[in-house]
Amino acid sequence: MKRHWLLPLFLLMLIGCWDSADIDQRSLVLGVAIDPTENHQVQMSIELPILGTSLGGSETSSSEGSRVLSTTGTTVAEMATLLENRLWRAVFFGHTKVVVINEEVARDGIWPYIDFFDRNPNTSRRIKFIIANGEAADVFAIDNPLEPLASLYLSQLIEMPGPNAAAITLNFQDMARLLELTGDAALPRVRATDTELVVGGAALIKDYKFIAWLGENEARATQMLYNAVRSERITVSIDERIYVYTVRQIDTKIKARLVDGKIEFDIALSSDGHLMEVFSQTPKHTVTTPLGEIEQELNNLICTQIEHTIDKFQSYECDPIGFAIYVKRYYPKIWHEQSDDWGHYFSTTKFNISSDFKIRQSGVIE
Amino acid sequence: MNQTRNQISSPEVTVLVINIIIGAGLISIPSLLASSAGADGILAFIAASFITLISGILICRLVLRFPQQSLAEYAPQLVGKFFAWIISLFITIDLLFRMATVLRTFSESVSVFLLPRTPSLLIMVTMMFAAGLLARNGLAPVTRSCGIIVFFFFFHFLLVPFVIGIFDFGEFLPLFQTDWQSFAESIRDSIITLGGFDVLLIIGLNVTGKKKLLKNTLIGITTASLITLSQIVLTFGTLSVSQTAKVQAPILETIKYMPVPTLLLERVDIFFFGIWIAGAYSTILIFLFTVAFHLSKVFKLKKGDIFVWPCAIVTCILANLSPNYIVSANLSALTGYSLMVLTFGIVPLLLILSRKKSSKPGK
Repeated sequence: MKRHWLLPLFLLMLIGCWDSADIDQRSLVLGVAIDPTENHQVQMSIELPILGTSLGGSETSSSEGSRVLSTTGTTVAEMATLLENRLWRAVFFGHTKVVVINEEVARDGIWPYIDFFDRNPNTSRRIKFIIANGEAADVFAIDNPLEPLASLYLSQLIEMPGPNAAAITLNFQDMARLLELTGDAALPRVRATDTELVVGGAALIKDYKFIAWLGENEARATQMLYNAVRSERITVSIDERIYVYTVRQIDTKIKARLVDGKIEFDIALSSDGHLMEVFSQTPKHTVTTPLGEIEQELNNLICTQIEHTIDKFQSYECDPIGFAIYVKRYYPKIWHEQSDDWGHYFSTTKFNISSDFKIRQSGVIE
Repeated sequence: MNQTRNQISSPEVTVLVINIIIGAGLISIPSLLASSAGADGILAFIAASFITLISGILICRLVLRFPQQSLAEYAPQLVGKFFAWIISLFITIDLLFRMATVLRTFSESVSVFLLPRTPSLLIMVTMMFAAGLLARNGLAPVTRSCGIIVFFFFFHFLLVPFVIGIFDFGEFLPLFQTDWQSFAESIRDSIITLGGFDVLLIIGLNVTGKKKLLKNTLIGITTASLITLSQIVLTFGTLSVSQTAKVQAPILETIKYMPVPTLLLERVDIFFFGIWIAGAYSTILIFLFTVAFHLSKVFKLKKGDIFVWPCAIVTCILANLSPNYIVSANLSALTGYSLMVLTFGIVPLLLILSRKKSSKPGK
């Protein structure tokens, strides 16, 4: 009885209600697009799902399944506030899947946009930063009844388990880890048509700034170097025949070695796979599939592509793979000496590349 | 706080020690270690764990020398009334400041991750109110609630299968690159995180079956160290050392980075945040009971519950003193020094004096 005075204090247990925000009071941002404007500011577009339409609706296109809002400003926080003022709902980035940055904006630097999402406690560390070849906001404007939400479509295109090694799958955490050390990374590239999104190739980032595009073969080589290829199809030609080889998983091992006071990198790729198709214009009865020759050709092709891609990185003095990490881990003294001018040191580094791709099966026929 | 309500069994000491160690500091220790010592932070933590075990042995030895008395009761016999009063005052202030540091860290983290618009003071008051309600009922209910909470501390091991794919053992390299000062700072931070079980100096008399006190205390310290170490390893290996150094709550960021199987588990980090809140609560709860109990012994009162609410209010005030989290972190470092003075200064001194007194004929 004496403790009746405590009863009102139990209301303290309800303080969580202070921050209560029902789902209908939140604008769930699925995607963010950053484009340049003429007055040195940027335009931020956000894709918001129209709940109900996008989840259960039939025959809904991106334009119907979601709403895209844009505003201009300098900082992301400022633009988010401007959008909140128009929406009355709090802009919530907890479900954001993609941040698409226009190539012109990326040339000036992606750092300001990374910082906002890095600081936001709700941001998932698996969101994707993507560089758009063209207007970034066009990504949300596609008209595709199969894909009511462009941001989810884009995210799935990058993450899909199927053979698409030409798309860089680096997520926010992976990117932040690379950028932290050298400021270099390779980010996925997207291009929007009226009805589709095309993901392939990559944007080369040096000192947090976009400097060049990588083609699809270069992006695939980059994915191999990231040890991120889970499935891929590679074609080789031998004697007017095209052999389509399906890779199950490529295992890439990178090792730094000190040779005569200078760092060298050994890159060893290995994979198992099977022949998916042998394409030939003229009907020929296959007696035996030249597995040894195909393997040799595959290994040559992979080594050439990797060599070419690394040459390109070296020509830009850019280390998007994070070779610096290996030097820092295993040769910290050299890293301390070279970290200030790593780009230059990297450009003169020797790479020894080897590939061991094996064909386990040739389908159900020999 | 009558006598039976305060009595706990020797195995319950393990639960108590785990709960008081795994508190608010758990969320930030990987970040502190990564920023001060890099990959060597793990070595610093292991070194700190051994130092903590030694301090655990010293504290238990002292408790076992005076099995029926609290520190406030036997200190006057060893150092005289004046110095005993100084020691008691030091311990009271130390406990209040440490509790305030935990409370501040708790409220800051809740503000950032969960309740950004709720005033920090209100978060603190609520926590102290919830802790005060239980602390007034004695040590036994406190320990029993800790017994429920302790199981949740093992939940993060469930994350391991999800983390395997993104775990990089190379992150633990290079080792032995840190200068001694940074390494010592990391050890200090680790000792602060592993501290708290020194409350046994005050509440140790309530333990029945003291023969196993030392063993159970060491089991508690080792378990808590392993739980904390596993979180440090988990965050270093998944987020990378440099990223761990950057973020405030690395374990939550690790969870956000995990490739979760379904969208339903997208915000699974909130579940782990809940576990951390329970950990912070149990730490504050034990501290609050201890300081109230200590004051009851200082003032030779039978019950200490009258000190619970005043101590809770003082803690809220102390926790609000720091204008920002940087000052708060500096304060936390200061409490670390006071912890070291207590465990490696006062405790050995009292042990030596007690041995001398007992070796004298007639004592």
